[in-house]
Amino acid sequence: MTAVPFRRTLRFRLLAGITVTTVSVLCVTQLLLYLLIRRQMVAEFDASLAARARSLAVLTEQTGDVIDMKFREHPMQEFARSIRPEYYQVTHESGDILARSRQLRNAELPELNGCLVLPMIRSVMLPDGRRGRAAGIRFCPRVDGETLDVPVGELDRGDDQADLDTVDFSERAFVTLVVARGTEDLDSSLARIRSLLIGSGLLAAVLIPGVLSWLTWRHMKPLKSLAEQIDSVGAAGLHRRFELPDAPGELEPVVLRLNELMGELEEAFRREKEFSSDAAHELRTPLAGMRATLEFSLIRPRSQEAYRRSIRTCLRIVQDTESVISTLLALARIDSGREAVEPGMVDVTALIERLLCRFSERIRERRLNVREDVPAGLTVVTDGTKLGVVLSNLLDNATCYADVGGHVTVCAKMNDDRLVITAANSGCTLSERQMVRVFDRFWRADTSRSATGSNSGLGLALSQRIIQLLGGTITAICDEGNFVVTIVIPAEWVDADENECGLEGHVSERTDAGRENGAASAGERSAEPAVGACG
Amino acid sequence: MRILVVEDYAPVRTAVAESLRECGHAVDDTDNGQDGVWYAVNNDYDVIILDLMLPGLSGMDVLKRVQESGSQARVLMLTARDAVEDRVAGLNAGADDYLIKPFAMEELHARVDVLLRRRYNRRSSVIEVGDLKIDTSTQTVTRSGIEVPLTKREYALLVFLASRAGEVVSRSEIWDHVYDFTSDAHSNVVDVYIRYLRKKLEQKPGWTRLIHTRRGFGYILNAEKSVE
Repeated sequence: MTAVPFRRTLRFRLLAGITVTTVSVLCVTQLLLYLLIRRQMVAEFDASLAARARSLAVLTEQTGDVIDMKFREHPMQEFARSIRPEYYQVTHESGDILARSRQLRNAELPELNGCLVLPMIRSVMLPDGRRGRAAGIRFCPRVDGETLDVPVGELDRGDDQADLDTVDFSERAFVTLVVARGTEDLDSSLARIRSLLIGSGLLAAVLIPGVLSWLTWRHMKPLKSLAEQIDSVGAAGLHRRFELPDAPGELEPVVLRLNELMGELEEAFRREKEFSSDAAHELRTPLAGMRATLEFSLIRPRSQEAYRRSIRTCLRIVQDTESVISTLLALARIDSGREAVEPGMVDVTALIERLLCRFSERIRERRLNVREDVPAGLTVVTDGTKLGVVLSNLLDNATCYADVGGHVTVCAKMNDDRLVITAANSGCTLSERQMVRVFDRFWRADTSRSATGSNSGLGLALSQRIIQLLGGTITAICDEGNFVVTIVIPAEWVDADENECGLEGHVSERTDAGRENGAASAGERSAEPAVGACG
Repeated sequence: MRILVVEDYAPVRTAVAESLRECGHAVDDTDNGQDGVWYAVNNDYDVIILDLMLPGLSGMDVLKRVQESGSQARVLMLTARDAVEDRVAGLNAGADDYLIKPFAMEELHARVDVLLRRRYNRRSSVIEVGDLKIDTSTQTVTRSGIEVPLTKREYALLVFLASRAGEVVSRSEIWDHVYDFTSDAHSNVVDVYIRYLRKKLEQKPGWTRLIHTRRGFGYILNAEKSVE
């Protein structure tokens, strides 16, 4: 088998297509998943930071001019610890820093002016160099005793405005509270998730092609096996049939049809071979006869009578061979589509009469009973020459193969626009298997070629081709010892009465046509291999 | 020598049979397999020329039956089919040689000669018995270098005797191998021809007796002197 580059194989295409698609979809899905998780985690982080900021804001009060940050008295552990501390910073609107967590030392956090409900949150760089997030709220600290009656999360701008209206802001100061927290926990969680996703993605990218490769190899195996089997078939291996024991459903009809085709091919090759062999035999045998006869004559001087005898033998051989060749040529002409149909008026009754007359000597010699069932003056429009050749072959066979003292029947009739002619003879001993082959070229029930030239086994083959050319059908059956050939051809029936009464010219024309047909038939004698040659 | 020709195509059969008869062989011929088997089984042929395609019984079937009958005949097959498988099938079936139609008559004769030599275990076309020399390719007989002209029948008889030189050959054996069904012969025809042969082969002074009579058994061709 010619090696096909792997890149051009169906397997590679499937593999590449599925792998690229799957890995791409997987990558995009993983990326989206990661972004979703990150967003969610950052949102949770921010929510917790915002909550911290709000809780500190609640603990910030104004007493007179003094901003009192109650959380400073009991600093939370998160702000106080030295390792990964959180930071806060409270700035007055004037810009003075009112308070800051101790761990902040001199560093400052950026001023983030969010509101209580929506603290402003940003990523920042913490003073100790860590990455972090900071949430800032700008608010008026509660005056001592005042309740912050706006529950967090339910406050909208309208209400806020309403509250602000009731407060005397002339003495109230605005402060900005910023709380910052390192994001290392968040970052490391995200990094873990990221590595997990990337790891699983890479694993999939390696596993998917591997598994796919195995799967495609496994499921493409029947296809590969079929291709190998087809590749190994040559003209000599046409008897082989394809076998795919584990063929998938889609391949079953393919294999079935392929095997049918192989069968047909094998049969066609066999027939072709047999035909060539038969044709060679058919031409070699008369040549052998001629050569042997001539060489024998020339071995030594002979009498004039001996020479005449040899020459007569050779002449007969030449005539017989010529007849075989003419029939073969006629077949070849029809096969190649060069033979045209030339319709004309044909008096079928007269044609059959004439042909029976031609075989009368044989009919007498073999004591045959001939029954003719043909309506008088049956005239149709068809190709008379070709019909003549067919009928001549049929009657020749019938009179030749009927048993001595048996009977031959010829029937002709019109059936709608079809001419039906049946030629039958008694004494048929052909088996069912032999009947199938009666139309094969050179086929004879008897394998010998004793009658080379006459009954060369081409008559029925030629008849079949001619009838097909005329658009009709020919069938042969062996019915209770009777060999029956029926031909049906489309033919326009010509009313004989009309011809005779109305147009005398037609009558003479028909006669002429008949004569012409006769002449043509005689001219085509070579195409009638069997004529007068048997018996 | 006795040859059977089984060939259904009359021009070939007639020419082959006639030409072999002209060479002095006793030839029977038939155009169908059944008769071919009958002839082959009931007569002691030296060579059978058999067409592969015969009406009634195919050449292969004839070959099989002839072999089953234990015939000593060598078989030359004639066939118009030149496909290798046809030839191989014929040879495998037991044919000794084959010839594809059309063939040269000369070649057929040469092949028949080869088969006859093989039949009598001879290697050369020249048979030598003492100073007697028979060249079967040219059909000439010499004794001590002097050519002895013989008729076809005499020649055929001599070749048969020479082929079995040193063996006693009965009259019926001579009859079987030298005469065919077309021969019009009477009971003592063999003796008559033996006499003719002796006359021609032992005529010159110094030519010793070649054909010896074994009374009650037949004849023996032998260069050595023997008591009659």
